[in-house]
Amino acid sequence: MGIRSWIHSLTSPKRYSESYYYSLKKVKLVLIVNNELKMGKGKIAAQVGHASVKAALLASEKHPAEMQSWLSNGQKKVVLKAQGALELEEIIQNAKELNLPTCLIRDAGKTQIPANSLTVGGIGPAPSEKIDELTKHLKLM
Amino acid sequence: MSRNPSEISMVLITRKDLKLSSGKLAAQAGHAAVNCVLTARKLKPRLLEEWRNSGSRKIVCQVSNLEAMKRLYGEARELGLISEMVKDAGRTEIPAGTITLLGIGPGPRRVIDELTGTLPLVK
Repeated sequence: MGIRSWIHSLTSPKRYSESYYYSLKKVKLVLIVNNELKMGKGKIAAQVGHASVKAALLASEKHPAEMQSWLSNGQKKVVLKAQGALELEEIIQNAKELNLPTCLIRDAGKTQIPANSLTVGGIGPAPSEKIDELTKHLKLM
Repeated sequence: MSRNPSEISMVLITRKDLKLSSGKLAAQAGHAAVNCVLTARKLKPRLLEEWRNSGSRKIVCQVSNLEAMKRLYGEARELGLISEMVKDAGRTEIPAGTITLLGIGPGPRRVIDELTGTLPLVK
C-alpha cells in the first residue's frame, strides 16, 4: 500500500462495517398484506405494486447500497399476510425502530374497500436476517 | 369516478393460463411495477412525477396466454409506451424463466386504454 492510499484508508469515511457488507449480499423486500380487508387477487397485486414502487424509490434515495444489491440480486420479494391493520402497524413500527426502511400504503378507496384503509406495509430492501426477526411468525400469502 | 383524459395510468397484465396464487401474483406485480418505474425514471421523469402525484393509478388485468402477452408488448413498444416483461427466477411455484407479467406505463391513460381497455380485470 502506498503512502497516499494508506492515508486515504485512515481518513476516508467508513459507512458500513465488513459484516454489514456481507449481509448486503442477501437483501430482500417484504410486503405485508392486511388480510382482514379480504381484498381480491387483483386488488392485492395492485397494492403490493404500490408498496414496491414506494419502497424502491425511497431506498434509491436513502439506502443506495441496499437498493443496488437488491436490484442486482433479482429483486427478491416476499409477500406475507397480517391478521389486521393493528398487527401490521405494530410490525412496521418495530421495523422503524431498527432503522429499517419502511412504507405504508393506504388506499384511495375507489374500488372494493373503504377509503383510507391500510392495505400493505413494506419493509426493505434490507438484509434478510434483520427482516426475518420481525416477520418470521407471519404466514406466506 | 372522474374520467380525466390526461390521466396517467399503469397497467399490469398477468397470464390466465399460469394460475398464479395471489401471493405470487402480488410479488410479480411488484416486480413489474418497480421495473417500469425505474425505466420511467430514466426515460420519462416528468411523466413519472405526474403519475406519482396523481395517486399512481394501477390496474391489474389478464390475457389468456403468453402469445397474447407478447403481442401486447410489441404493440405497446410501437406506441412508444414504457413496457416491461417479468421473467420469474422460478424458485417457487413455476419453472424458471417463465414470463409471468407485463407492465405497461406509466403513460397516458387514453393511449393505454386503447390497448388494454377490453381486457378482463383480475378480481
